[in-house]
Amino acid sequence: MIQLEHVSKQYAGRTAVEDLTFTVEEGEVVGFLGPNGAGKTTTMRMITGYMPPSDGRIRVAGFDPIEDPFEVKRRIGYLPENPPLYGDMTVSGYLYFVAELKRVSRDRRRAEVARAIERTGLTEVSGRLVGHLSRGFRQRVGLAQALIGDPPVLIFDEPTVGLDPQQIVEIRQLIKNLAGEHTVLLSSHILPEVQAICQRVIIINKGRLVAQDRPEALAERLHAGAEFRLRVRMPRGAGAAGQATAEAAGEATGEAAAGVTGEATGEATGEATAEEAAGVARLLRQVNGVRDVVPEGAAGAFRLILDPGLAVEQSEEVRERVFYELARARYPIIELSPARVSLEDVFVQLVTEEQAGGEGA
Amino acid sequence: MSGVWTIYRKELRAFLVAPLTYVLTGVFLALGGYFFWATVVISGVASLAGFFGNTTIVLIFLIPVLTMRLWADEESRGTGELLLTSPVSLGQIVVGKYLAAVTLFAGMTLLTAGYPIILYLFGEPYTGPVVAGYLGFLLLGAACVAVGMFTSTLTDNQVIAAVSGFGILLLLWLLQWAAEALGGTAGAILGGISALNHFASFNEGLIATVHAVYYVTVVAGFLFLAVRNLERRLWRSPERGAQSTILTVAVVGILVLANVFAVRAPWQLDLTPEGRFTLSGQTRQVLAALRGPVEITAFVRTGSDSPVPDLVQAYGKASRQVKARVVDPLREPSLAQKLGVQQYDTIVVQQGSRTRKIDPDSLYTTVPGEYKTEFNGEQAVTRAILELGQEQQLKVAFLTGHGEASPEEGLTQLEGDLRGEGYDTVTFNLAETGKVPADTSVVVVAGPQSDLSPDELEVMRKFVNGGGRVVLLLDPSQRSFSGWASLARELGVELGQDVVVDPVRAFIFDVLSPLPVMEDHPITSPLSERRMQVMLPRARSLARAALPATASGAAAAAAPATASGTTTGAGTASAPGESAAAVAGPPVVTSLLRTSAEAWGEPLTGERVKIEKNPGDPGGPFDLAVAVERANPAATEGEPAPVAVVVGNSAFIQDDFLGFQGNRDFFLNAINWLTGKKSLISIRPKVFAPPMITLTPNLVWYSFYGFVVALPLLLLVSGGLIWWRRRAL
Ligand SMILES: Nc1ncnc2c1ncn2[C@@H]1O[C@H](COP(=O)(O)OP(=O)(O)OP(=O)(O)O)[C@@H](O)[C@H]1O
Ligand SMILES: [Mg+2]
Repeated sequence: MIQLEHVSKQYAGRTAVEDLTFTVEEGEVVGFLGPNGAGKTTTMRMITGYMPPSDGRIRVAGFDPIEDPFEVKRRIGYLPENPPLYGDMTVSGYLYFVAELKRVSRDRRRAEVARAIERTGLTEVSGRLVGHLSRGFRQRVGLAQALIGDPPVLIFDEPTVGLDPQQIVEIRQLIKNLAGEHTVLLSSHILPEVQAICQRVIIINKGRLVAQDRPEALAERLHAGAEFRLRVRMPRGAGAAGQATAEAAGEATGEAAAGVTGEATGEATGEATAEEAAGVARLLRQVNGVRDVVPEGAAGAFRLILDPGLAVEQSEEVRERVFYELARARYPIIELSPARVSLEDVFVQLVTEEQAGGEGA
Repeated sequence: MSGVWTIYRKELRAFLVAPLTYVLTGVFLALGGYFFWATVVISGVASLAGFFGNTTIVLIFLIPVLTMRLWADEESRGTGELLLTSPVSLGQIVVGKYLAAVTLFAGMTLLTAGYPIILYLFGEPYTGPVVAGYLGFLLLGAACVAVGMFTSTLTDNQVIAAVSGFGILLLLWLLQWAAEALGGTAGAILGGISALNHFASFNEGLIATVHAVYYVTVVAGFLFLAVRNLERRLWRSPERGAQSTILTVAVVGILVLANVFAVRAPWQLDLTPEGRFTLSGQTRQVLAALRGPVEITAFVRTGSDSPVPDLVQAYGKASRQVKARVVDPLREPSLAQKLGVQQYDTIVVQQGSRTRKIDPDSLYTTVPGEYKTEFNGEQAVTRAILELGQEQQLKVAFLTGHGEASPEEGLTQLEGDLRGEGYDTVTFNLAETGKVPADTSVVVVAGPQSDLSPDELEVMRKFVNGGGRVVLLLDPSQRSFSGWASLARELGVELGQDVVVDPVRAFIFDVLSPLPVMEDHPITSPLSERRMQVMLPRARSLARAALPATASGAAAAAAPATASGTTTGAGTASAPGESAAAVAGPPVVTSLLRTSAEAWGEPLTGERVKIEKNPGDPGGPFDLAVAVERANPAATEGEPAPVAVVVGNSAFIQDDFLGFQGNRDFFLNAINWLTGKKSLISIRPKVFAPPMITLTPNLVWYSFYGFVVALPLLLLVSGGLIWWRRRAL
């Protein structure tokens, strides 16, 4: 639906986008990521025909935004970085104007406006002046504006900026629902959001494409099998105390007593648990192939980090050894799963790698 | 198209809810109302010209403020991104916005409708200038709005947009000054570009395509520039840049061509009450028949409201042969000096090396007792052109040999005037030549001191009976001249052997110098209209000859060859004047100048007598000057042809007296009448009668409070109300 081939853009000689090539298929929801000044807004402006690329070719539904502006503009709903609002209009008046502008046929205009108002939760402010609305509401009016006329291609430049958490959830749901029938390209800085909504992520930095893939795949690719979430039963069952390692047991006795006598002081319990967790971590660090073990918040939760560069079978062997070790120490494993690496990490890593590479070159 | 409509309505709504709109309209109405009130009340003239003339200046401040937000605001709010990514073209956006602003301006103008209503209720304004003035005002406003629309696309800063719009408009205004200072072709082009220039003729009541096309050009040009400017961001490739350069050149070319065409093929609707810009059919015929280029130069004070420049320009527009120029003699003193121009409103007509000068005195006639001025400029200029164009100048021959005054002696000033009127002057002596010079139109006999010999009489008789014209100026004389008397009798006039004393109508210092009453005749009426007197120092009375010239008998007795022998009569006389056909028939004598009834004729017997009325003296009123016509036998129903003017005095055209009031004009009119130039006298003068309005003192103050205070306040209040109501939205 959207194709970019070797697209570049210079502002008065300064390059904002360089040799960008990607495709967004029909019905896809694609996230567009990049640090400030990466060229996201510039790219979107070129797709919508607001400005022409300096070089390269753009196709939206097969049309060039500059050569066939009407064909492209008819098919696009666009929420620019700054919502394009007229402060002196009422919300419904503004949306009605947009409906006219988007050439929604006269008999459908009212229904279109009502639908957009309802979908973006603007019902209670529909009669107010746009200029008198709060930041978040204005953002919603901007979104509603993009939805008018139900265009097949939607381009959102940071759609959830300024929204309250409740609204963010609703808008994300809305965008998810748009998938399938609409092609959506949205830019964002909020990575969980992209992770939550998008089927695919395109990451750019300094105007260049850095990576594009499904969010999970990106994470996998980076940390394939190297990190796991581990949860064990803690504190260790009372009957098993004697079989603990000497040092661990010694430390644990008093605690167990305290645990039996009562959990009146949560802090004491917490301290005891933390020490026990540290013990487990020490235990596992001795396992061959384990690089590090980091206890995490909840009792019995750890991050298990294996040596980098292990093959899949090697990784499985290491996990096997961990299982026996814990079983031996009578800490039953409740959960052992590959960690979902946050996109933030991926992002930062990709961008820093890119930078390092760029500087090296 | 629907895109234009959508943008238009959005923009108009934005104007109507903006408090700034109401403030601007209030200021506009307060200033406009004041200008209207001040000009109408002070001058008492029921016209909107003063209001329009002053308010145009307000527009160059006001309109840029009105239009500054049109695009600059979209750019700064980021809403331009919505418009430019929606399925509307830049052209639709610009036109929609422009039309909305023009509609608003038209609405503001509509709020001035109270002014003409007052004029129509309490006075009698001319509708033409009101209609043309409003049309021009709207066009001017539309042009200013286009300039503002353009400057608004230059920037996202509204202040810059307004200031640069103001700058461009001011420049368009000031160009007029530069044009005046520069003069010449460059000045003419600059003047053509100046916005103010074009409004002036609308304000006078002329709707001309030249001026309308100018405003349309400004609108189209600046809207085009606005679209181009917004498109700049789309000029990515050199080939697009080249295309747009070609387009720009094409559009500029079309606009220039449209203006050239409008100048070349002018069409205009003259709504001025006096038809100031419209030349008569006669003039247009004269111009169509022009054989060589004619240059008409008007010397006019800059800024005067004289009709002379418009008149001269009208000639320039009517014919490509005519080059019309309006010059301020203060700015081009050398030209004024070269052409001998000493007064404002002098018109000089030149063809080749020949020149005619028209003095301002002959242009205007005030109608006494009424607020009217008659303007005879067209008559004067057309006559001048006609005369210059005549291949052969008409010849006026002065008879000498009997002690007459002649161009060499006593008539030097008159000779200059005759040449100025386009005549050639010669003198001749019948004793030497035995005939009247060839191609003579008029023979002037100015106060002979001795009698005509019988042979000479015969020549003169044949001359007048063969179609020649004479002016006989015969002073009172103690001797009686039988030759002159019989020549006069031939013309149906009996010479009185007396000097006329008119105790009622005489020059204040001399009872023997009558200021006779003017009878109605083409020769005298221009004088009586201007209240100018003719003074005849010592005049003899004239009477109608006792039917000597009735029918053929008397004529035959006087001149054997004339009654039937129309062709032979001309044979022996030299070729008489312009007409070869002999004129016969009884002379018809018409009075030109008459004494009062109290006048009497003091007989001249040679002895000195006391001037007093004696019982035997003939009583008045007498004719002192008569015009003589004769029916033309060749054309049975033809108009009688002028033959002679006889005056019982010759001194009035001599250098000492020629300058007195109407003396010169009386004589020149007589010559013109005799030579047939009177035909041009029929061009109707243009009458300037300002439409009056009388307002009672109460009305004066009501209209002040209504237009200057209440209406603008109403606007401010409604703007405030709208703001108040929307404040809670
Ligand atoms: N109108 C402009 N003129 C000059 N340079 C510009 C213009 N607009 C953007 N740039 C430059 O182009 C580069 C890309 O800007 P862009 O706005 O596309 O980044 P972005 O990815 O949207 O950033 P952000 O996350 O902050 O919105 C930046 O270096 C910016 O300074
Ligand atoms: Mg951005």
